[in-house]
Amino acid sequence: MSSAVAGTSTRRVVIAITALFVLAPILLITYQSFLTAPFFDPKAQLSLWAYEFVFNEPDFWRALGTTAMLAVGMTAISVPLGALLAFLMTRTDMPGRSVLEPLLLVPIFLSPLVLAFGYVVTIGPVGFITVWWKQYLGTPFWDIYSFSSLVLIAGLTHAPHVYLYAASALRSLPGDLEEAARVTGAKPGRVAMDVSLPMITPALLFSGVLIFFLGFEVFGLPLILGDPQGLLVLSTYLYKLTNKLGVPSYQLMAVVVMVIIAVALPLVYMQRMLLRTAQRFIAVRGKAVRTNLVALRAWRWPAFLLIAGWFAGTVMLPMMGLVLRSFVSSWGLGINLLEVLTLDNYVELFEDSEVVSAIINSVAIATIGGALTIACYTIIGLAQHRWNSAWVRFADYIVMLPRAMPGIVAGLAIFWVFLFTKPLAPLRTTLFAVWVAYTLVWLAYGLRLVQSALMQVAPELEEAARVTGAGVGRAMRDVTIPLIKHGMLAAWLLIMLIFVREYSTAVYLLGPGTEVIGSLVVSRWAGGAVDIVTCLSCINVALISLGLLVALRLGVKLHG
Amino acid sequence: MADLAVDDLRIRLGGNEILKGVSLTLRRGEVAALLGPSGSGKTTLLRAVAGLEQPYAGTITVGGATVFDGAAGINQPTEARGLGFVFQSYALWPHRTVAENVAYSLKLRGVAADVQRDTVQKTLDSLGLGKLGHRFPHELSGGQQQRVAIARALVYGPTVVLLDEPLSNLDAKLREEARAFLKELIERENLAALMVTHDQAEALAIANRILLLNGGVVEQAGTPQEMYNAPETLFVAEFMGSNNHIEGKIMGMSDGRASIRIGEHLLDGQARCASDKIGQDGSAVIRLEGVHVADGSKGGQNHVKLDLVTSMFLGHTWEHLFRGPGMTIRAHHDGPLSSGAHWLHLPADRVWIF
Ligand SMILES: Nc1ncnc2c1ncn2[C@@H]1O[C@H](COP(=O)(O)OP(=O)(O)OP(=O)(O)O)[C@@H](O)[C@H]1O
Ligand SMILES: [Mg+2]
Repeated sequence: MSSAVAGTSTRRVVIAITALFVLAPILLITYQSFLTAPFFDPKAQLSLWAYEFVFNEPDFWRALGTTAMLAVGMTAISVPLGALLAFLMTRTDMPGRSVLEPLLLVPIFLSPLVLAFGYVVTIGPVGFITVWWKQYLGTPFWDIYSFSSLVLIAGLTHAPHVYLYAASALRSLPGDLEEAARVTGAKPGRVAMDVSLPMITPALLFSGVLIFFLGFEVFGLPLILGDPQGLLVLSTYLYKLTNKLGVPSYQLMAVVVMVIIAVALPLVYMQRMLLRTAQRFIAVRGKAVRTNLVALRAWRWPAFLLIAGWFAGTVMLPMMGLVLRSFVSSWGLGINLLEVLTLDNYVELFEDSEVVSAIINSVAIATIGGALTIACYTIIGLAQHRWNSAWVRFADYIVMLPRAMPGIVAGLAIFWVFLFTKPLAPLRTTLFAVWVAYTLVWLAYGLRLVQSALMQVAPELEEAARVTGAGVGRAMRDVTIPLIKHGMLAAWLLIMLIFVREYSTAVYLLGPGTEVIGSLVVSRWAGGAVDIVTCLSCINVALISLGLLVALRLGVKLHG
Repeated sequence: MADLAVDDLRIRLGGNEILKGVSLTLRRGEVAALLGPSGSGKTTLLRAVAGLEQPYAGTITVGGATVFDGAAGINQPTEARGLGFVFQSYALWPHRTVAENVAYSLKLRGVAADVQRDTVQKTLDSLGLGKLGHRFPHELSGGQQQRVAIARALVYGPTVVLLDEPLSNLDAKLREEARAFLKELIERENLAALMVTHDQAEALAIANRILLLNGGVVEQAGTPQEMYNAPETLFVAEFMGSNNHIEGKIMGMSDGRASIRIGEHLLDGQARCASDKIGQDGSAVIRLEGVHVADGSKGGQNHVKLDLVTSMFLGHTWEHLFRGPGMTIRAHHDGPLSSGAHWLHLPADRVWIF
């Protein structure tokens, strides 16, 4: 397009830098996986040794199998549950829908790690409920550290992802289809099974793949709930591998990372394709027409109780446990709750300088760092904006790559990049390294937020500036950017929430000066500091809730 | 010398040939209307002149300067072409007031703030928008928005303005007012205007010259009178005005005249086809206002007797529908008619045979 002649060199530079930013860590990992020792070791040689070693490890295969089973199990629970939630919320006259609506999305923004802590302190072996149960009812029937508990909890906490996509697909379904079924004599349940849900199959298929993919990525839940029984998934196996041979075994970690990326990448591309079909399905149907809701009659309250029960079990139960645990000095069988209530945990918390700087760092990286991240994403988005070029299609694929790197992998990769690149080395122990890793991990997500704001700007508005005499850059500055301000603000708020929630990405970067709440609780939990961990978790949840309230207040759509 | 000249412009979009060699010239004080069916490439041509689409061959000169030349590799960016452009959607910037919208091009050119203010006010005044400078676009009516869009395109004094269906968002009444206003403005400011329109009545009214685009080529160009009264092809004849279209067999041809057999009737008309069409199927086209109701006549050459089927009152005239074996004819007549059969005269100089 001739209109883009000026400014193409800037666009190319931005896309080239983006590509470097994404590809450098991946190339370094690939290179490392073919070495016999860490890349900084002068004795390191090219070989397939690391692959042979890992592929001959029974533990690796066990972790891979566990991961696959976890992903399948999660999908089997989340998809039907999420679809049911979506149907009840969008298509029926169930009471309390407006109250439940924002609550349903809460688990998406809560850290799974925090939820896991919550479960441990409530229904773990010495959790509040377990202890009371033992006192009054005998041996509890559950075991929090079993594989089935892990699958169940992962499934319940991931249902909102399915709900999001299923609900937006259901909202765009014309209601007369359901009414037609009612008229011919179908009950609400039949209508859902025979009409509504089949019509949103593309959305359900997409969310199914998404959940399966997230199942490969989960780190927090298996780390907390699987570890005590020696239950390893790929991400926790990777985490445990750090010192397998007594020295840092980077080559083995790189191989595991390669396996994770090899599994995740096809899933990412599958999601991309499925999302397109799902959206086409929606677009064809056009705007939703307000139609009558399916009357549940006698099922109204049971339906409400089902959702309320899910929310209580998935969010309230672990949260209340966490809060309570953060206010007691110790807990176990035979301890009287009233005698151990205390504020000491919080007082101690603020005397621990590492904890204090973790809180400050988390807030700083979310607010200031988040703003910088959105600025970067906006620059990348603008570089691609209204430019019909092979460079843009290339960039489209490049930005998908980080999606295939779970946070812990991206954090590790950035850690290595900073170690490998001499001029960057001094920055490795600063918050900058953490910010870089966060920006990399959330590139695809954040860029989509910015791009969808850019798409809303009618092309004539920019062209009108061009014909009156503005160059490409000037038109962007004077027309495009002012018009996407609100979208950028919304994106910033969402990125803030996500950055506060992050825990796995900073695990490998944790050190003096780079501690954030997420990575610090991982390391403190390993050290058994339950008091500090529960307090920090509560602070983390409080920060996220604050951000959520502000976002809701400003009318930010919580999903893209 | 022409102020805008386009020569043999060719454009390919998404693998399709959209413009297949379009040429036109335009001088100051002239309005050229680009007419054509949907998808014929009108918008594409306009956008290419402005540099918003990329042709692969041809030349474009604005005020004597070549801004595009496919062979020589010249391609000035949009902002360097110094054109005025009025978008179909107006494309007013929602985050700027009317005055800021209009002043933007002056700001880009580094005009001093007080001069900017005066120029903007003068332009707004001349378009009857004097008091609306502080408003935002969404606080204006459709007609006012359209005038702001024009003000924004003219304020920096371009000689060539391009307008893409500038009147199509207005309701019928407003559109007629706006079209007179626009024609007056273009003449007063001595501009060269290239205007896309869907509406042939609008093109006839406003333009000094009409270019009828069809499938990416100029089917015919000429004054409104030429286009209306002397169409060269069936397509042009059908596109302009309201027509009767009668199928038949071409029987003979001589001296620019042809005759066509329709059922038992033999119609004479002006030949608009080559002589090798004799003996083949052809069509006769006559405008509704070309048909005369000739009651009292005894018949004769180019007279047909048809039954009146229905009548419609159009305000300034009546439209009657007649039908007989092999032919249906609509005719304008200044009064109502009794039911039954009527003689119609299709004068040979108003009938075109293709
Ligand atoms: N970006 C594009 N890629 C491919 N084809 C395009 C593109 N833009 C326009 N076209 C095609 O080019 C042809 C001409 O489009 P154009 O908008 O110029 O038509 P138009 O004469 O202005 O029609 P209308 O009267 O409906 O506005 C159409 O067939 C259209 O489908
Ligand atoms: Mg058009």
